[in-house]
Amino acid sequence: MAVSQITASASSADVPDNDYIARHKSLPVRIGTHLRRYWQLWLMALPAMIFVFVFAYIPMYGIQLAFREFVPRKGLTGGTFVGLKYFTKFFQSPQFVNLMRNTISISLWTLVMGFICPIILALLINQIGSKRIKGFVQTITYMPHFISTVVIVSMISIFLNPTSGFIGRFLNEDGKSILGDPNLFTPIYWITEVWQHCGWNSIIYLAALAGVDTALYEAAKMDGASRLQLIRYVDIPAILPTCGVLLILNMGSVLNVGFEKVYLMQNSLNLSSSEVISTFVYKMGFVSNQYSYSTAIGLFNTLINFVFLVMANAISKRVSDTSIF
Amino acid sequence: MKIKKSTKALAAVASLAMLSTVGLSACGSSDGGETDANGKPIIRVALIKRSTQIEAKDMKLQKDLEAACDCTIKWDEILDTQWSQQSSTVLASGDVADITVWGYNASNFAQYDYWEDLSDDLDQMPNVKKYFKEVPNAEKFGSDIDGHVWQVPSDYGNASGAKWSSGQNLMINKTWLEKLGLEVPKTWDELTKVLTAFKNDDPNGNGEADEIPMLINQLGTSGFNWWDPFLLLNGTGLNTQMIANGNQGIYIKDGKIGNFMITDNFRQVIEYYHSLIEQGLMPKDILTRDSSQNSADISNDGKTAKVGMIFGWNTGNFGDLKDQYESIEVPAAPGVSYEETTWEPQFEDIYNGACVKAGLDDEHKAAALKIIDKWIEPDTSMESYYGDLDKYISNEGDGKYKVIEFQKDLSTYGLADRGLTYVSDDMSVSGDEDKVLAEKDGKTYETQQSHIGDKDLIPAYVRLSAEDNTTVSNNNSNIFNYAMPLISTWIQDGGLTDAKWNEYVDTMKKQGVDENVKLWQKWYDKTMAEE
Repeated sequence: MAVSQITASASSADVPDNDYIARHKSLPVRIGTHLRRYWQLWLMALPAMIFVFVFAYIPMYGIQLAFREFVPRKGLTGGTFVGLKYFTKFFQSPQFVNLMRNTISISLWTLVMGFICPIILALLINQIGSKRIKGFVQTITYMPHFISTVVIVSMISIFLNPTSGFIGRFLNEDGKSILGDPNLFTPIYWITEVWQHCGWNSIIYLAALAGVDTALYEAAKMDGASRLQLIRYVDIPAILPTCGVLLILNMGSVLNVGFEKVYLMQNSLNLSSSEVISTFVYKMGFVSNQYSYSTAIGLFNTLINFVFLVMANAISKRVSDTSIF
Repeated sequence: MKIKKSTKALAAVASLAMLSTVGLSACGSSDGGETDANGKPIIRVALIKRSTQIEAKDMKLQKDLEAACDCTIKWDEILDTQWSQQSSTVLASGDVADITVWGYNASNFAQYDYWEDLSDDLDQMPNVKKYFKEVPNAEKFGSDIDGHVWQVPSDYGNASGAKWSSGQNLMINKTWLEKLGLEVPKTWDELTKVLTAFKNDDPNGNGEADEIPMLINQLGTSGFNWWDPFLLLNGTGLNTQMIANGNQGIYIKDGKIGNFMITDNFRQVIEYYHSLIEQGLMPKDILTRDSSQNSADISNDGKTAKVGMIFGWNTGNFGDLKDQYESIEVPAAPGVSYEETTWEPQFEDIYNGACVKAGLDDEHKAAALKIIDKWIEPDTSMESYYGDLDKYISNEGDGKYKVIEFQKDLSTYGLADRGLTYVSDDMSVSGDEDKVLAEKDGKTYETQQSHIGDKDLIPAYVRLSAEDNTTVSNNNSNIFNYAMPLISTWIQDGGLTDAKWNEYVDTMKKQGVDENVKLWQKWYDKTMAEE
């Protein structure tokens, strides 16, 4: 014990520890060394950093609008400070409970189903042997992704027309369109959403599956694994990390229910289940010009999203050791 | 060597980044102090236009205005479909054009102080001064209650076709009526009979039961709209003013403001519509139908009519079938006499005109005022509305103008109502087809409109203060979120009982109907007292 200590100190005296020295140099010198060594990497990251700084960080100063009276003449920062007035107003609004319930139910359904379905689709497509059929199925399933929301909503209303729609003529309530049924708004929303984006979202899983070592399949087959067992023990573990990261990323937008689609699908009959935070912000901010109020609601929305993101990340880190930070 | 290279690259990137931020900040702070190559001021004029409209720079109007102001005009042309979105953003940023025509209204002027108070500049605009003297209502329209003049409005006076029409018409297929030997319905009971005949007797003669006796528009989710189904309220003797205060349910009767959403008249209309749906006289999915579906049915194939009755702009709605239809007076509800029925009031012939940005330097302000003053001269006015003088419209002397080539969709050659126009009493225009149609439609409702009493109409210049307006619109958001699903369900599925109605009325009052009515009454009384 003592001997080794002596040799260690002796050797450190003879051979200088470069790491130790570098760590104890003055800050500017250290930064200089770092930049000299890694400047190519910094240069590559720079445009993105500038972009994020200019378009994400600088506009954040506008958040203070949520705590101020908005006076157009005086600009964003000129109004008197009113603290949490607009937040209280939102929490006490008779619509608050309903808005939150609608937003959460629509977004959770979309999030969960929109997460599971592409995985299943990818696993299925992966089982197709012929390359041509595989390509064909993939193209067909991801095609709807490129249709704009406005067109999709028109298509939905044409499909669900109770007299002429090819789905609506079977699914109608005594000649009335199911688009007017508040209980069916959420299902119609997420089913069409899944239908539209399922194929596109499965591409990333297909890429992960393509990377699986074929030796694994052969080894499993030798051990007598069935097709389902191959999926269970080879495919799913292979895409699990990808699933984790995507789930965390999606969690960050849990309350961001797409504004256009909900707004376009809204009608006077389903209003009780189709009014969500984003449509409310639109109506408050742009229709009745209450910028401070709608900024406050938007900020609240963002905070909830942020909490969800952090939570999902922490859970995932603990459970499967996958995390984005 | 290596280090040098890297610093150079870094410097380049950094300067690029700085450039981009400089570019960004430049957007926010244009003062309108620009001058052109000859040192003449450049005036930015914003126009809000229809998609089919001619570009202002191709009109003779530009040369005439530039000659008068000794300046260069730069047009900002914005589509009206985009304007509803864009105006909020422009207002939030304060980046308004030097002159904006048609874009802003009184509530904008009350809420924001971006515009020049023109009350002390009238001496520099002799034409405007004369105009305000001849038409005191125009000055009132452009001013607020404290006497600031925020805009020079347009006044189409007696040359206007629109003046005679409310833009809201109830139209019926008269060919079908004649074929079935029916009279124009005068009451709701007669209307039901007519619609039943439309349904059963195959009026379009194609042997199929494809007739849709009546179509109504979807209900709005945050207010009432143009051509709203609840225009039928006029048949119960309640004047709606749907395109003004009526869009939030506010009406006035004998000087007393109310909200028609909690009146028995309103309940009557709901129940009547439900009875029509029950009897198959309106499609069951009427409240979820896409507007494109309605318009497809309305114009059908251009040969065989399919629809019996709609609320709309004018018979032009029916395309090639337009000759089969005509506007009719609104039928009276049970127990309501003809003398009590009303209809939407005629359009104001005075509408939003030009406003000038505040804080322009003297040179630019003088030029802007000259532009406006020139624009309302008779020749320029006509040219702005119909297109170039002597090409599309001619001056026949003595204030008589003749349209040479009429613009089909209102604005192919000229700016129509999106420009600035003043037609004085001693001027007249012939050859305007839209005017002819509007006059015809308008005449239909003249008698019913005359049933509107003096104190049954809220004038357009009654406005809420910005603060009260916020309260009212917050209440409205709650009111409509609560009411619209209920109303629609009652129309579609029925089930409206006394108990449910009473509960609805109570809740509506608590949601702010009472408060809104009180605020409207306050400002109505205040404005009327000023008169």
